[in-house]
Amino acid sequence: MLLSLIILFPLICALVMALLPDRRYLHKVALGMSVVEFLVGLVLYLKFDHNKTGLQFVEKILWIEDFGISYFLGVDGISIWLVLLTVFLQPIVVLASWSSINEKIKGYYVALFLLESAMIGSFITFDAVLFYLFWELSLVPMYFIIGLWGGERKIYATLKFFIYTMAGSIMMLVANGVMLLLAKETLGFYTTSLLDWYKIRIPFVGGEFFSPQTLLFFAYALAFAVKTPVFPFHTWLPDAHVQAPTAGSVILAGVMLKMGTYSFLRWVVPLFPEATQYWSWLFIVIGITGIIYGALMALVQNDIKKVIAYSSVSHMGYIIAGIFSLNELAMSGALYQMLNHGISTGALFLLVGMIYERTHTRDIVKYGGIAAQVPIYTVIFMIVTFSSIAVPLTNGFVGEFLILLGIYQNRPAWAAWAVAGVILGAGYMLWTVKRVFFGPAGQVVQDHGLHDLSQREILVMLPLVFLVFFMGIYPNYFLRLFEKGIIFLVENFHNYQLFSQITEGGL
Amino acid sequence: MKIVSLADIIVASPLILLVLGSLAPITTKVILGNREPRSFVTLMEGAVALVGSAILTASVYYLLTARGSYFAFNDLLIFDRLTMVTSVIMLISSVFVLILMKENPSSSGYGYAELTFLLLSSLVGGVTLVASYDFITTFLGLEVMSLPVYVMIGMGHDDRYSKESAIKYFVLGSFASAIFLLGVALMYGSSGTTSFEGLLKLGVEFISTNFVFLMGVTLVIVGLLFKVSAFPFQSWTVDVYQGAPTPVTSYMASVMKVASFVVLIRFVKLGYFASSTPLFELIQWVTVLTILVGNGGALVQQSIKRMLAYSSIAHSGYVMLGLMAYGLSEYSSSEELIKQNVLFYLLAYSVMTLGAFGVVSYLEQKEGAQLKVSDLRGLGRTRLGLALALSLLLLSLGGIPPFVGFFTKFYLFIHALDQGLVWVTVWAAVGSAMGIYYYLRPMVFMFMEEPSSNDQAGDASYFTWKPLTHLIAVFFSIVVITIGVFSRFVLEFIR
Repeated sequence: MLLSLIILFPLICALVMALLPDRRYLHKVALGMSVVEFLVGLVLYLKFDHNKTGLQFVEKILWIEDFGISYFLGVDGISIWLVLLTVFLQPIVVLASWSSINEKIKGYYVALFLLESAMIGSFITFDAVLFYLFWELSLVPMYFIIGLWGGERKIYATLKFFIYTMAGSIMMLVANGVMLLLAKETLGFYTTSLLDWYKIRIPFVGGEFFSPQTLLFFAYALAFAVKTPVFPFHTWLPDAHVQAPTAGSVILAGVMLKMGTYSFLRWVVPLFPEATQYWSWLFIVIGITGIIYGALMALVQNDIKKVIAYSSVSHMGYIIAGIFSLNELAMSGALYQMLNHGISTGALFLLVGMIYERTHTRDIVKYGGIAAQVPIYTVIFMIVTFSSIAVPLTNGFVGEFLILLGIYQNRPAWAAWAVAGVILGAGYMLWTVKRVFFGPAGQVVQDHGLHDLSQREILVMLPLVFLVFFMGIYPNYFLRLFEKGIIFLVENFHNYQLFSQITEGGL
Repeated sequence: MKIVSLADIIVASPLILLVLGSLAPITTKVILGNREPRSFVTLMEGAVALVGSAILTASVYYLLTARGSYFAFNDLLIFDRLTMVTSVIMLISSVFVLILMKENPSSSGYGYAELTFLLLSSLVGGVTLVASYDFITTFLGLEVMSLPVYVMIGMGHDDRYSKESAIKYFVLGSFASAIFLLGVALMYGSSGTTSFEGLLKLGVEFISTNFVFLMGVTLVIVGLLFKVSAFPFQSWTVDVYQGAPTPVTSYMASVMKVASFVVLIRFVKLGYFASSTPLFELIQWVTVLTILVGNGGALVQQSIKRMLAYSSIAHSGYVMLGLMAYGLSEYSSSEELIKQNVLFYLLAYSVMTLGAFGVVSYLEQKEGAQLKVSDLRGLGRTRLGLALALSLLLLSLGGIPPFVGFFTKFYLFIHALDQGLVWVTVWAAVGSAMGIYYYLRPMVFMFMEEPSSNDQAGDASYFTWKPLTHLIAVFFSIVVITIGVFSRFVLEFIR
């Protein structure tokens, strides 16, 4: 029941938000409810048994008999972290929206809670159709968040966001149908349960594109690649990030992009092991291309949000390259980096949002020399920047180091190129910091008397800063808990019969 | 040849009730000295006839024919589950059409009684059509269904578009009927029978070798494809849907389409698709192009009704995908399942279209109002309930989960893949992705664009309050969620 609760509670929150008569308490009620949801997530985490592989808290109810589609929820050592990340970011985002969202507050919180529910749903469902349902459902609230509370070109950005993701995932729908029929053929019954699908042996012919496993592999990979976004499919991301309100950007970068990378781990790698193996070079190449391309693009941007958006493309490149290195190190690194990126990029977007509320510009050229006026802000921004460029003792270092190590084990020559991305990354972020915070006082400083972060804003940033250091200094605490899930995935990689134990449980 | 028995009459009693019921509104009008009766009275007369007929149909099915198939009037008509389910869907949908008519400026007031009469007469044809088991009755049904509609389209008082589309539809519709009839004649000439039963017994060899017969089959298919507005016979749809009064459009898009597809459902089971490779390939192309032309055409439309018309063409294509799978399926279990899911698609599609046209009907303030998508600007601010309802209906039409449009489409995709129609399904999916753009565009205008000062939708007092139409739109938007998620109960009824 715990997993149903964690999906249902945000829906209830959305309903309460819609029906709440007094507009004065909207912000506070939203914060309160998102904290409760976080506590539910914590309970889940505390009750989770880390010594077990396989699924826990399983709930399975047959939903549509004709095709064996079921309401199938469960968490394992991989997905629980993404659930935690989602429920952790939600109160922070709500708190950050207190001052930035002033109109249509009701609709805003309804959308935000619906989005939370859909995203968590996509992380904990193990049924293909249910997954597709949550996957598409998450688009709708985000479509409204960008389109209603966004910047000047919000409509262009939000349509682009929706259509790219939808068009990317439509082939996944067809592939779901094919998998369903394959299940009927090989297992003898209709099923859309992922655990059953793991047992299907799909014919694979190396080097031939039009063989079943390769086609299915690419149908799923395309959907996830657009969502992640992987290099050639990334163009919706900068637009969406720049036009979205702060909270939208944070959720988009922090959680939604993880839906893509997580799905690679959950779906593509175990379902199509041979095709994954065969085509891994392609994904490592486009991953590393993405790292360098994103970094180079970030170097030439004048909009702070665009810098961070392109840095996201770059970071996602690491994660994809890490996943397709197909060894334990790189995969743990990729999972670690997913959490890191959620924290550090989320924090960067929050910080940009805070300064934007004061100055109403994101143009780097207009900034300069603000460090003296906003010392606390500067310190926090520097810390988060260090996390983003992977300075040791911050969380980013652990993730990137593990990924680079993993790529090196698999393909040493490519690791060299990935390292070049690290240097470029340090370059664009530090250069941005220099131009914004130091140097001669810019136009912004002259026009506005900037005031430093308020207590509320510090409260928003504190948990994130804490995690930056905690995850940087004690990575073993997390890595130890990842281990079971990742080892299970890697070890079973060549073994087709991927049987997963199921543990009933929960409240 | 046996004489008409009492059982035949009882089984046909819903039809008889419908004929009698259709006379009630105009009789009332005559009694009142040719003055228009109160629209509420007319509505009740029509609704009672329709609902009564639906109840009668269901009870005849459950009580008299004992849930089996019953052949009436020398095998001219068949009363089976398919007939019962589709009749009930059509009759109930028509009640909603009547309500839309009552509140729409183009059909309320003068002429509402006549419209009700015409609608019910057209339904007599529709119900005959879904029950027909012989090409003679099929033709009769098609004509009886279409003729009143030609008049209904042109009944607008002084709307140029409505006259134009009435003529257009009449000329093209008659032409299609003629082709259909020629096809039937050729089939009869070469095989000596027009009944489905007789045609079923012909055997594959006769069909694939007899050129005249195959020609007849092709012409019959052409006639039917015209009725369901499949490519390349789709171009009338857009103009006629746009010009007709919106309630009449909703009738054509839902009820008439369901009836025509039921004929196709019976027709594909005669086995001509599977036995003739060229014909089958042709139908594949027709399906793909219907989907692509429908979705592609809708992308560039400014008028809401034209956009919905193109969307309805695209949806015909998806149903045809299911029909092809149905025609190819051989095992009785999967055959029944496919038929059930095609029907589910038709039901869901009727609900979504009726709801969407209901919203359009609500927004029309005067006769022949040509609403543009941009006229929806700011609707989310002035009429939030209506705007949300339209959004849900459009998302469902676009096939976004968890709305019913997604499930029905997904089921048909599965069946098509199962029957080996892989590339057709891939193209259908591509078309589906194209569709997202135009289904989202109205939402952009409703919620994200600020209403400008002289815009109609920006002014809440501009709209006359149409409670029933509003209720229908909201009700159907709830229905598209519930029957999607709890499809089991609906499928139980359709089975």
